[in-house]
Amino acid sequence: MERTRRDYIGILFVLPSLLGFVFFFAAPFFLSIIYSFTRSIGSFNFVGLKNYIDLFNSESFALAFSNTFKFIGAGIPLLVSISLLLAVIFIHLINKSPVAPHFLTANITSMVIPSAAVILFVQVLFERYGVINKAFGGGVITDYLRSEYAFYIILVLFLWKNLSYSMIIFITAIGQIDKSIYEAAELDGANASKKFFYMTVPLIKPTIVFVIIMGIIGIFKMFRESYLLTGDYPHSSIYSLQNFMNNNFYNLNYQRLSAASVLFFLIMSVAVVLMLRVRHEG
Amino acid sequence: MRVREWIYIKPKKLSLELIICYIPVLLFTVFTVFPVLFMFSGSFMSYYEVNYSYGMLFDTDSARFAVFKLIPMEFTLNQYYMALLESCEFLYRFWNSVVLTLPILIGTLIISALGGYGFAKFNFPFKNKILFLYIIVMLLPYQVTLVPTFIVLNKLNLIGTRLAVIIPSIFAPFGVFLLSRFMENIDTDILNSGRIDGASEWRIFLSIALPMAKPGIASLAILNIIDSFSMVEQPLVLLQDVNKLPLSIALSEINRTDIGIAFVCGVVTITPVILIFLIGKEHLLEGISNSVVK
Repeated sequence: MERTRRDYIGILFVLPSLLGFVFFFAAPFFLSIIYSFTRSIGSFNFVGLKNYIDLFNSESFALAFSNTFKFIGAGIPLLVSISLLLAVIFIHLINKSPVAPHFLTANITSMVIPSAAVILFVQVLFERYGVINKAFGGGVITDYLRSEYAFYIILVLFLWKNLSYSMIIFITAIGQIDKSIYEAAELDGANASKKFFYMTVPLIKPTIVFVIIMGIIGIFKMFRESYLLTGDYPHSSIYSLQNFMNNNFYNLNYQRLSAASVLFFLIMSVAVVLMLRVRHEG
Repeated sequence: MRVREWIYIKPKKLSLELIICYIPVLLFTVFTVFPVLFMFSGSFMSYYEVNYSYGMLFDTDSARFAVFKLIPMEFTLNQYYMALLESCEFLYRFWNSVVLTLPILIGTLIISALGGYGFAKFNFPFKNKILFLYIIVMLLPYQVTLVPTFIVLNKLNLIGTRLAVIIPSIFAPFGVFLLSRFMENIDTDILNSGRIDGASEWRIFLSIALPMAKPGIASLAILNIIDSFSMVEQPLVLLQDVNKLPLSIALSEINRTDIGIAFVCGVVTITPVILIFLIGKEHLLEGISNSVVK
């Protein structure tokens, strides 16, 4: 795209956002990079890669790191596949029944509900004297929220919050596809599953990437529910990067926190590059 | 003539296919809506009923378990009275949330509309690289920028004030990203015709681009309200004063200490958000479809 003189005016429009972004996000982060190489914040004693080595040796960091990957590895595929499936079913239904769109409105309430409100429900279900313990306990009380099960609870909570939104994104995306190409495929003898996997899915690749991005953001947001339910030191199955960073913050261990942030940033950059590449392929 | 046509156009049969399709949809709807129903029904129960059904949840020792009560035995507004009129605490916290959410909303809309327009319609140097940075920062959990932001705010003597939460949230990259994706779909020809007519760029932005971007702005507004209302990390760290904590954090305390009004608090927290959503629903769905599909 050629750049005309007018394009430079764009800088003026972007300036407020850019200034704020640099001042509150980019520059602070740059500071963070510097801190990650120091011994403590007050003085600037450079200690090279010591903080990073500490990090690799830190059990809690390894735990937080692996948990994050576990969540993403379990949550995102589930999110994408279930919401895609529901979207296809829904589109099928919309053609046949006028009631269908109202279901959508009902569904999306789960996305709209603030974290704090939903946790009461979770507590009624899973606390020591909650409903699940009564129904399935058989006399044995399991503190679900503080056990291995916590991982699955948070996972289901994540799906509960995000499936509706993802489903709607897919519905609108699939809705935009020109229906005539399906007819052409049918003439060539394609059955339903062939149509889906070889035609629908590749056509909505950018949408899938978008859902994945929103899904990852959603997973990180689950920290809120996890914190409100279990506090600063949750069970190891849900101890997240945010817990790690928060606790280091309270312990005034800023260097370690900075090193972790930088590492995290690098990994996310790689992920984003990969994702952007996929979307531009489509 | 009319009757004949009517006979031929039969109402859709309840085919097996239809039923099979409806089952997952119904299950999913129940799955998503159940917690909300639960909250509403609990809010109408009397204090005794709530305590009987749920009061023992947080005890260390109890003989009984919680029981799901979807329909209150006694329909009463007593808890609403207790939560809203008798004690100021809830309303106070609610006000805390509002005082944070509104300024963040207004600021975000302004900054994001300007920035989104700039990224969408102008090709200035380094644009793509900056956008890339925006995306990455958007994905990062808040803690990553926590310490440096804290230090910056500390130097500005803002820690402990509400501005410490409001100002960084206004500049969060998500808004710009969303609106830029949305505004890319605005027809450049219309903008150009404005330019040919001699309007200034600012005028074009105000009179042409903004109105056309209304669905995107509406969806950003809704998403932003929802997000600000639920935010937990920032107030925890940046607001050191317990009195300034918003509802999102206070609610979990209320759950623990006074379960009687907990349901009501939950409902009152959910309701404005749902109302806003219902009002802006059309825009939201339109906004999503316009910004995502390429």
